[in-house]
Amino acid sequence: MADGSAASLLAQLVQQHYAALYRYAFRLSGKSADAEDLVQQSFLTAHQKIDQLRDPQNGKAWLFTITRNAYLKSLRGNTGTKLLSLEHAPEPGEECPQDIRLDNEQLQSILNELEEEFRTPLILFYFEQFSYKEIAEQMDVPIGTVMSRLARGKTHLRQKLASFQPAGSQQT
Amino acid sequence: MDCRTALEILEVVRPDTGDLDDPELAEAAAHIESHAECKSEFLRRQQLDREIGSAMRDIPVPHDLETRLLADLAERSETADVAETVAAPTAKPKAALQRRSWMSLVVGTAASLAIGVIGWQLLSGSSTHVDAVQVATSITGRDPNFDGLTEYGGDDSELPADWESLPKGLAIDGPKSYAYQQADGAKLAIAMYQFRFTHRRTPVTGYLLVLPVDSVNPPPTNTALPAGAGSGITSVSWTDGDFVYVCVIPKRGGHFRRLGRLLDRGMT
Ligand SMILES: [Zn+2]
Repeated sequence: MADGSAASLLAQLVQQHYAALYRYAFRLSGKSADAEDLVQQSFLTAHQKIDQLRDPQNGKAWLFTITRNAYLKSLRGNTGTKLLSLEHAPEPGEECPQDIRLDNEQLQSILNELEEEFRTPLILFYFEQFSYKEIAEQMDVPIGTVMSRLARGKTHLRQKLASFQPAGSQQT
Repeated sequence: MDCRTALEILEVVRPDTGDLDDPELAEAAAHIESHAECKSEFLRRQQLDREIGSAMRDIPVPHDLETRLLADLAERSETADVAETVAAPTAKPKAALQRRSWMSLVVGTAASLAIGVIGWQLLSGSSTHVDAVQVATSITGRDPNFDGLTEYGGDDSELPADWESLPKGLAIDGPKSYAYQQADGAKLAIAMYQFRFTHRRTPVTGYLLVLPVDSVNPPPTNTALPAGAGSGITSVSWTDGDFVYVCVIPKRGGHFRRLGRLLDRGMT
């Protein structure tokens, strides 16, 4: 691809996807400063690897994958926090809680506790940009794995959100 | 299939999308259709998904982030000694492709449509004609594939008259146009509009291809084209004035009917 058209394509990718990528990076990392770094890093990588983007129509999925990889890279060597795996969580299948009030910070804190392999499909699912098959492709795991992680993750999320709803909660 | 399995499988269904029509989910979908209790549980979960989803996406984006990213990019491009600016419309077309409307772009060779993508060739004279049916059915997957194509700056084209004042819920991007030079020197110009039904949370996307009428033999009247076998594509083509339009939507006939309804509504 000629340099001019590569630059043009990159600018287009920034304009079309920076906001979604920022939100994704924010939900992955839990912090706005980290999210900005991740987005910047992602576009730097995109700039270096633009020749690998065969089909501009796939730009969004390509960028999301780059951002996730940048996030995973940033985690390396960070063994500080013990994260929650849902691998052995009870089978999903509970009745869906009736009344959930959503608090953004609570939502993020639930995500932060989860292992990345459960957090990422949840975020991608709720972003509604990608189907479960596309999520599987992005995470490079079998479709069945994504289905099971989504079912477990969503059950966990609903239960946690429901547990945050004490009588006379402090919502303003 | 038992209740629990059906509900678990259907956790992958995004609300207000066509996900539930996925053939791989058909058995679970049939279960909830036949079991009222499961259906109401499913609907409850979908409602909760909507609420959680909207909270999940509710993250303010720093107002100057885009500007900073673009500045960053421009700087890097300069460093890389890239002379051209990033603005697509001013991108200089390849020397062989003069700055003309791509509609009038003609190339003098009987290049074949061998790249396996949505596209068409605009050929000089009338040595070869593009078959609109072939164009539409040459699409082989859900997402058209533009491997190996470079962006082309010339982008004049015409929307069908009916689409010019767009009905609410329909948005048009583009046209995007691509230039492609084959190894044998033959040139192709490929262009398309992308449209979306925006009234859905996850927009349905399709493509509108516009071809000069004299490149299509014979020009269609109002021909509904069959989907290519296994391609998951529905398409329709028609002729209007100097142009032939080929409209393609991935996957489901229902989407096509929705587009038709939108356009009908827009015209009344
Ligand atoms: Zn049931």
